Amino acid sequence: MAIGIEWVSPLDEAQLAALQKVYDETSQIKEFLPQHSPVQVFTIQHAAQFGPSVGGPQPQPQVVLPPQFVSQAAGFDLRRMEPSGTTSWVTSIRPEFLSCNCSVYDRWKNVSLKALSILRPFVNAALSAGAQISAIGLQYQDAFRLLDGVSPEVSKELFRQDCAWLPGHVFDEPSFWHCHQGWFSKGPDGRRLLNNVTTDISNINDICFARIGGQHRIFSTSFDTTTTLKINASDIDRILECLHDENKKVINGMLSDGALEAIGCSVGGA
Amino acid sequence: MIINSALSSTDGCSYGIPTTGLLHSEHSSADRTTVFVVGEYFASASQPTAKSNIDYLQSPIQQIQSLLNEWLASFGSQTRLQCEDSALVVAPASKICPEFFEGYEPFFKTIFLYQAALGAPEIEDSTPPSEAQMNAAFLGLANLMAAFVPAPAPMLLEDGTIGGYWRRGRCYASIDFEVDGEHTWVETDGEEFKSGTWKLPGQQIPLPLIQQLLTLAS
Repeated sequence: MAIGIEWVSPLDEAQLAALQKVYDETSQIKEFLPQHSPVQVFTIQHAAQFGPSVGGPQPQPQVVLPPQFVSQAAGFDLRRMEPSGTTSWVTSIRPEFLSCNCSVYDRWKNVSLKALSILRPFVNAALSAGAQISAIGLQYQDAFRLLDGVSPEVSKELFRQDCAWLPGHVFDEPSFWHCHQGWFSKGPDGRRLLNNVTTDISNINDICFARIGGQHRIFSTSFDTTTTLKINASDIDRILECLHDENKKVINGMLSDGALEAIGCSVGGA
Repeated sequence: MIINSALSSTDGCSYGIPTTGLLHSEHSSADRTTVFVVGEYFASASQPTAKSNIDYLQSPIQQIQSLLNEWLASFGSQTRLQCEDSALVVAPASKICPEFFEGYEPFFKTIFLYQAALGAPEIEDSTPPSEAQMNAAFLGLANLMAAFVPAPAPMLLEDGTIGGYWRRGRCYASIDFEVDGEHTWVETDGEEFKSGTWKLPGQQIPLPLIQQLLTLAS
């Protein structure tokens, strides 16, 4: 699960430095996320290209060289690594967004509280330094290991055959399938909310998985995009609850009772 | 795998990139205006779509993967028809196979584990990689990926320098990612040794090094 706060304009060096100061001076965050790593943004430089230009002369073969990457500083990541070598929490401070990703999810109530306790000092510092929030998002990834491989029977056991989120024919398909969908809905105060859900049954390193990726983002605009509706720090809690409800609606509507129980989610519950 | 090669009349754009799609040599360069007509769609600039343009979980490798695939796709996007409010884009369907990038994931993970382990307060007399050393390694790895060579095994030096090596039989190559961007490399086929530096950013991967890496990968 990841929560993201997106900015209207990318943070500049001074604003990123203010967020670095928050980390340096907030002992609770430093203790919980002790690993600080620089982040670079990569861009391709001087890529040789070939091919015809519109209305141009007959194309001539040209030398194609591999592209070259250059990089520049683009914030930092804060990690909590477990003794097993896995990363349990990552907070990413990037020019475009601030995010907190938890891979040891148990209950929304617990994880969202922890994530917000990490994010809030950074959000406050960024807003004080002149940043403005353009969107708040919630991203989920749920995965089920399919021990019996892929088959129509497995699809029917895992998903509700009559659900609105999957086309009916996938339940008859004998092999892997993939479904990606996106739609806008109305969020709190009539804000515009973008929902994207990807459902996928595929083979990863010879293991069959069913994966559901959900992303829900509320924008600082009215549903019809004609009016700016500023997002303040005080709006974050309410917006996140709405995003969580959107995701819950999809998961509860898509997964079978047995699958919901397997992930500790009672029907209609969190 | 051939890199840095001029496209011959029969090569099309198949020059060794580990693609999963249709960019293969059955097309001739004379057909290039139609070679990439493998998918057509209308994309209107003014119509918002219900598609996300951000991923809070995107890793550095995924970012590099996206950029390289966009670079590859840009060849096809040069062939387009402009309409009044939309563009008919003729784009190649090919992408670099994901397994190529996944080969680099253990290296990135090792860097983070190395930094975490050496940064632990109970570990004394150790030097975790500095920010500059990590940045040098990340940029070096990105450019190895851009040269389409397989992932090296990580090589972590006492002073925090991050390097990588490739070995098969008597053949060996290694590179140290130095903070000044002058990356030292060495290679041998078991009989002859060669060495040099690869300056990043700015230089293409040195020919003797790429030749040895391609030999190791073949």
